[in-house]
Amino acid sequence: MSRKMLKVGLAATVATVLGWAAPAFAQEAIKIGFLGAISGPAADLGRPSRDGALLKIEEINKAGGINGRPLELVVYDDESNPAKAVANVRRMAESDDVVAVISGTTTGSTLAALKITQEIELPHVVVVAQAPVVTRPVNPWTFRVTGNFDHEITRIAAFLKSEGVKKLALLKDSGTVGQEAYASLKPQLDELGIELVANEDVVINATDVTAQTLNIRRAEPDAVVYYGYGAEAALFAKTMQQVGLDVKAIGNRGLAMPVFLETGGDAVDGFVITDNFTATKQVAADFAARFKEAKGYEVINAFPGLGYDGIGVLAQALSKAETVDRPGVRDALEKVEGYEAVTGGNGMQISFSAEKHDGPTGDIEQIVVMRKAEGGKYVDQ
Amino acid sequence: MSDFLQLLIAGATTGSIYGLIGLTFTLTYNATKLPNLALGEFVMIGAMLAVLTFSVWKLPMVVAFPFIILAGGACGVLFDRLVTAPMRNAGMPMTSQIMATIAAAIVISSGMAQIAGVRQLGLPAQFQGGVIRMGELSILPQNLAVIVITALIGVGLWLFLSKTRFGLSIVATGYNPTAARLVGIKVSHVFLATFALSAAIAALAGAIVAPIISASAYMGLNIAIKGFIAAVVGGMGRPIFALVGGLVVGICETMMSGYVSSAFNEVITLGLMLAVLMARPTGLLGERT
Repeated sequence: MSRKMLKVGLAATVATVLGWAAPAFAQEAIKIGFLGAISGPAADLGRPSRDGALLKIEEINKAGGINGRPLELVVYDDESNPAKAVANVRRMAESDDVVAVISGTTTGSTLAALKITQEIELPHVVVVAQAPVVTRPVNPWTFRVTGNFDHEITRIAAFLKSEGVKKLALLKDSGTVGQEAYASLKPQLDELGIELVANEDVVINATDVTAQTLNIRRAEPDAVVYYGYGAEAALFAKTMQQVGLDVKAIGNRGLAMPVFLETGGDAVDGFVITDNFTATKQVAADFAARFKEAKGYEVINAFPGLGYDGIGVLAQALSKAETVDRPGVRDALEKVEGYEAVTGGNGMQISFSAEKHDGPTGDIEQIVVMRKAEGGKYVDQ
Repeated sequence: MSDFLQLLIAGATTGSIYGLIGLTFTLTYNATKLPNLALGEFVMIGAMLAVLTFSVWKLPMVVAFPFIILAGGACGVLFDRLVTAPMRNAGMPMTSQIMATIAAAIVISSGMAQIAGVRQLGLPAQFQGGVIRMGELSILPQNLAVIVITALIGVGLWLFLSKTRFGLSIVATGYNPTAARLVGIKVSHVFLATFALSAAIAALAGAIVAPIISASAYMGLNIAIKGFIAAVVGGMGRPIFALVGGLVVGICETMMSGYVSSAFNEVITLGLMLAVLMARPTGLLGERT
């Protein structure tokens, strides 16, 4: 507890505010807040989404800004701590007077921040958190750019059906992610007539998953769905190999992390994962090249693109907003139509309406892509 | 039956990790009576150095491991000289000293995040060679190495503390620092040595678990908590008790996951600690006071 308190104090002093001095612009910058897990356990998703957002802003400003006004991103770190998310959202709304906020952080932090943005009526574009509850029921001030768990699970269910799976085992994170996944997966399995023969949990930072793997082996499934994060999933893949559990394994987007490939080695070869990014589509490949050039590291998963698309839809809304203020941006976000996303599969667009605040639009195969771990890389299916 | 034995092997691996870290906690606690809450950061440093020496520099094991152990020991020396010794010499209250270890932990992990980045880093097993099989039972070479290294350290430390002059002076200082000083033991040297030894072992522990759980700048606290639990369950009397505590916790956790449910893993660990504390406040093996 006391460690946490100290960290709060420390983070308040190190919270980074990145701004642009843009002498070329005569007009005042439009400020957008970015709330993300820049440090702490979820920084693997917060930093890339921030860098993607920054790249889009740099590109927009270079092209003349929005109706002559430059964009400025005000970045705050929440360390994936909901308390800090709340404090920082209030700060960017009050001290920085942002016109909208983008959040690239965990579901827990996102939900905490949403309460505030709804209360103070600040447009909030969620780019990372996948839990269905973020947009259910639809709230006037909350929009989402990424595909959610329902999309992901629907894609996984379709894949299981096409593979002729009759008996499935589920190994899931013991926290929110796992529970949300189970709640979404179970009804779809029932509908497809797939029997769930094992349902096991794994804690974050687990040192061993032998017990779960043996229980799954005993249940004799045709396939395993893994719902959680990369490090533990790699441990599971190695344990599968060790105890001779030789079935098809399918994982969620949380496995699209370098640590999964590095720790797993050849044990993760053949592991199929869902993702919201594929380099097979031209806009995505071009984006990845520009990102590498500007930010100095490879795009290997959806997070950089999600940050980029988050700013992209906001920019489209800002350029069409009748008034550049919070209600004006909100109304304009609901009119975003046919935005060509760099995330998602071929042809995926982002569109919002009054009833639909989950942006991804297209067939399920366009929203969620399947990739496979092979030889230390993710390859498109 | 083979499932039971397989679970026992798995529990022993987990338990060895918990126990090894618990042992380093007890080592400094017994001598200085200061619970070092920055302990996990030495584990983290060991894990990060493992990534550096094995994955980046590609050093052979016989060079990399001694390097990690020495670097860990050096960090322990620095930690005592910069953080704990000044506080102790100034006669600061224990609560302030504990706070200082927490502050140091945050500085170390944030500093590492600045140097090495924030992402989780994975690395291949140091002990390769495929799955070792005995009939229906199997174990990964890395996990076997964790168990063997933990056992060797446990025995080595026990011999050191009970058979050598310097080891005995560590134990004596723990019982009564004033009396130790009176019989000519350099207490500040003893404190320094325990921090160095504790940090060296913690760094080695980090290096051998990194291929299993991966490494990151923020991993320290999580893994240290498991060590604290092992130390409390086993009893604070001797470092070797923490090894027993770790094995008890690790095996219970694995058996519960195997035979009851894997949904309550952490509840079981913490529940076990509470139950032991209620029944035996000094831990399973600790002397009653």
